[in-house]
Amino acid sequence: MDYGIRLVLDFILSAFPAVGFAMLFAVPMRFLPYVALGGSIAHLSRTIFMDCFGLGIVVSTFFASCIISLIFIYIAPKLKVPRPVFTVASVIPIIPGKYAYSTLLQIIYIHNNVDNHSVYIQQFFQDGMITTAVMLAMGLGIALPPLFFYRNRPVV
Amino acid sequence: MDHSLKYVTKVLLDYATKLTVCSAETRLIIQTTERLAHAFGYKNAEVIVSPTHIVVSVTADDEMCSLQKRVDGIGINMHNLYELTSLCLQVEHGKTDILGVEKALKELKAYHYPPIVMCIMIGLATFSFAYLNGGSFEAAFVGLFAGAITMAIRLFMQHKHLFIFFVFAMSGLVATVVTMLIHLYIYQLKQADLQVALTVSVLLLVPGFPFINGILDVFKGYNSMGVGRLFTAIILLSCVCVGIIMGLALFNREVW
Repeated sequence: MDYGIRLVLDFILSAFPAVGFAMLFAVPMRFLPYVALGGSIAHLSRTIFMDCFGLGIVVSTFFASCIISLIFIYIAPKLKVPRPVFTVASVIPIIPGKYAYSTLLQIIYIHNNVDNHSVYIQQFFQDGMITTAVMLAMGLGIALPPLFFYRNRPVV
Repeated sequence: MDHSLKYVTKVLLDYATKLTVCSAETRLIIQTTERLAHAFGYKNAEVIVSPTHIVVSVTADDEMCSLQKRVDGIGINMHNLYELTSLCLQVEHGKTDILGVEKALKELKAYHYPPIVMCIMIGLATFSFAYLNGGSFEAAFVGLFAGAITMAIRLFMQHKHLFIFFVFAMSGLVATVVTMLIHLYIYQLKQADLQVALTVSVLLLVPGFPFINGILDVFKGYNSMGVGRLFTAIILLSCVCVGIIMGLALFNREVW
């Protein structure tokens, strides 16, 4: 498939997880478009960082969530809404689901293959490291930028 | 100031509790409640938030009032969070007073989208997740149905006010079982696609809010709250894992 089409599909489809989770968190209806845009930008920017700049998944995730955080530091005070309303749902599309699930599977394999488990242990640590690091990168990317902007200012 | 100090403290305590229950981060709870106290004309207000209790102390002239309340059942409701913070802004701009705040707090109800809409949206979300995780469209369609059914069952169990950890474990089980049943009896998937479908059907159970709130709290120096929230997230994740393992064990004798 053409790379451009893939990016467009990426942009459109990553809006759905963000909006779905935003509805789970009961975000008011009129803020859903912002969340959709946030989710799309988060996943698209991570894809671009990984494909075009050759960065690893952890660093790309960190930069993507920093971008989301910075965008909503700009938008949220204008709407007079606290930022978590947008940011948490927006980073949902970049959750490392594949790696987390693989980590769980490796635990099962290690348990089952007592005689020959070294390859599974290796894989377990690799996937577990990536999962943990990506989750931390997501959290830090959301948490760090506001610390520079909101030292003496109220949040709303 | 025509209201008694105890009454003011009680309204502030109610406000802080409501903020905590809809899952605001700790700094937001403390800042907003103190701003509300300032707006009421009390310069010395202190809010203490711990994972189980909230204490609000207000000092005026030569008397002091300190009340505490237990917090149980932290949910996630951004609608209420928005309503509460805009209430604070209204008081600051002089559009309402303490009686109005008390009335608004009494009338505040947890807002939820209709369950059907939520199931459909979560189904679409799992569909997209499957594509984003490198699955084919067949895997995505299986994920759509599994996600929607899991969401319906999770909402039903939450509606019955079951123990939240049990709800998460059972939802993980249901997601795995539904995906496997679709794979076995309705539409045969390739092995790689089956993995993707199994992965995305449980993604709606990721405890994103406690996790990110926990990290935010730890970074802003509220360690006890932050660690508490992070630990909740870890326990929820472990419950989902237990559910998934039970589901896999039902279909595959080698699993456990």
